[in-house]
Amino acid sequence: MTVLFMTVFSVALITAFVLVYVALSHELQSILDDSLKLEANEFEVLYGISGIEGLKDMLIAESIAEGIDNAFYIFLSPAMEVIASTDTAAFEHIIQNGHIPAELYKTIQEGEEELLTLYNEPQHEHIRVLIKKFDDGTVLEIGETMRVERLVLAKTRNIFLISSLCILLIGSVVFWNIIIRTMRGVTRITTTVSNIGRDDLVSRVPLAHRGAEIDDLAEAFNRMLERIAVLIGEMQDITNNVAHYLRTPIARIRGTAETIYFNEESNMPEKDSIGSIIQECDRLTMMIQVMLEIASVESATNGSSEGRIDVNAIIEEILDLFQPFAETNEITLDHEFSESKLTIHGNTALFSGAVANLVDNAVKYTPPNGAVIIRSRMVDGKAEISVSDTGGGISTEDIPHIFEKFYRGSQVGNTIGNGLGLSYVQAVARRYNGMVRIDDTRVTGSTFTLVFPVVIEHEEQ
Amino acid sequence: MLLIEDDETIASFIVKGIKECGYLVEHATNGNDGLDLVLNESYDIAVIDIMLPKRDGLSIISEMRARDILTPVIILSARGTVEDRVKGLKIGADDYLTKPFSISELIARIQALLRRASGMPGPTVLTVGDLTMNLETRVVTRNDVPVELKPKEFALLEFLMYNRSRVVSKKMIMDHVWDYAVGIGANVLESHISRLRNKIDRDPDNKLIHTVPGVGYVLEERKHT
Repeated sequence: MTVLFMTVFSVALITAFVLVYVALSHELQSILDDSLKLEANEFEVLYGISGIEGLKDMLIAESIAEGIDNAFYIFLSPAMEVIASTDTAAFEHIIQNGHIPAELYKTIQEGEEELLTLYNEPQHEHIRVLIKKFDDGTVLEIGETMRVERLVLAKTRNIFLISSLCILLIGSVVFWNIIIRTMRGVTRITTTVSNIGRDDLVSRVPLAHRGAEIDDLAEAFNRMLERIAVLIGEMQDITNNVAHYLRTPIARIRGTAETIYFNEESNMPEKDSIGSIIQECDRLTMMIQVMLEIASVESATNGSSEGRIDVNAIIEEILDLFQPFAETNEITLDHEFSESKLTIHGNTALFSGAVANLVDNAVKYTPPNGAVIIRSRMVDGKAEISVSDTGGGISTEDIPHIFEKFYRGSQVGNTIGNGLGLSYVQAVARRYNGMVRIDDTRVTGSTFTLVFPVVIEHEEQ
Repeated sequence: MLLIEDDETIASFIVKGIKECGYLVEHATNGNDGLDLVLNESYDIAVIDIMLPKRDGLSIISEMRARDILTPVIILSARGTVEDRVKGLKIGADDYLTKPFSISELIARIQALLRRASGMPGPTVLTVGDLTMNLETRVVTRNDVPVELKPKEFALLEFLMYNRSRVVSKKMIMDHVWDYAVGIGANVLESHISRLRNKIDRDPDNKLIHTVPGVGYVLEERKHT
């Protein structure tokens, strides 16, 4: 940002300088020209009064005044022969045969004058030359170096350079300061907003009451946060209402079925169907519960307690849960734990649920004689818990969708499921600043990996 | 006891279930009637639905407690978030049951509350037939022979014994013993039950754990003819 500002500012300064320089240069040349013309007029008048002799005296006077390396005066007859001249030794480079080469001003008429600039290379100087043809054909050539002018321009340039540098320096220091203060305001906003993203909807951006625009921005953000809080509140209401409106009819169905089921007269064959009704009601209830949990976890309105979780201890519990099932279905259930204790931060039930869901998927889709392995390790400062199975893998067209709610994939066949497990896992992972990914190879099965930030345990003193 | 529930269907099977257990129950269908009854009559237990016409359940409970009416209260609700539970208990309820629920679970909780209210200490030993479980020493014996149980097996058996002769659904069992495993599709419970059976139900003529097809399980003595 500062660089941009500097560039723009520099360009502006340079343009200003160039304009001033050119104008000054022009003006100075104008002044010089005027003085040359004035001199030429004086000579003309003198010539009219005193003739050649008067001119010669004037020449000597002028050459002493100006200096023979600073100016020259040459008088020529109409036939271009030198009548009188100052010492032109310093101007040998531009003077031939004692005068300025005639080609340079051939077209001049009586009474006319012409101005040229010639470059005297040996002295590295420009010479401004005025040529005047008097009425009787005599030609006067006056030449002056532009030393004074050059000096003025050089001094001007230097002053400009120094003051520009100073302005740029001070300017960038001031600018830097402004930027820093603005950025600080922006950082305050960013911090507040990211806190909101994680945990609370109550924080608002503090107003500094110093810079108008930053405060406008902060206020705009606060209004937006209000709106979000209201929307989330509404969403929570909707979800709660959905829960109520779905659960009440299910409660009726289940209650009625249960009553029929336990009615003593009924040793009827329909008893199994009634039992199924009860079971399906339970499944529906579970599904609604998972959906509500996902919604509350995703919107971070889940009020459950959080604390330190010993990852390996949880995995052991889950292994215990699935062990009998795995045995019955001839699946090997194994684990590889990290060397040291892995601790993460979160809600124990949610984390256990997430891992349990991954293992649930794994065992459901692994055929007999297959294996499901749970591994925990520390990778790049994060805890990675991966569940690998030797099932059929997940097809490439399914992979982008597997974390969507209710997505069941193309190969589920008759396995029981509702498509919510993985979206639950993802919601929990995200809630605690983690993520879940799939490393899948079609041939040897799938591996799902949960990644969580690690909490460093401090030794007790 | 008193039931305040506006939904007819739900009310009818609750009333039926409670009556079948031998209790007397009065039923109010809206909040105002319910409040009248609870303030003017005395009950051993009140089962109150949160969403009621005319006056909601929570306000009834807070009225009760404001007047020092100590009747134990079970809340029925379709919500059931952690916040709702906490709110309900703070207002003065003693228990919170989320719909849909099993009638047997409601009965179990009613009985637990009754026992608590009467000052009877909870049992330290559960006995069903020749199966005993000492809750303090954590020792389980079948026919006087001690049985080694893993922690979760113990918890599972404890739940079944506590609800003896009441059918408990798979969901109920999972919610109590493995509360985090919501949404697990694989029938892990079946395998755990079968392991438990291997340990405590070896005699085929004297089984205690019975499968209730489609619904769940029940632990009770059944004499074969």
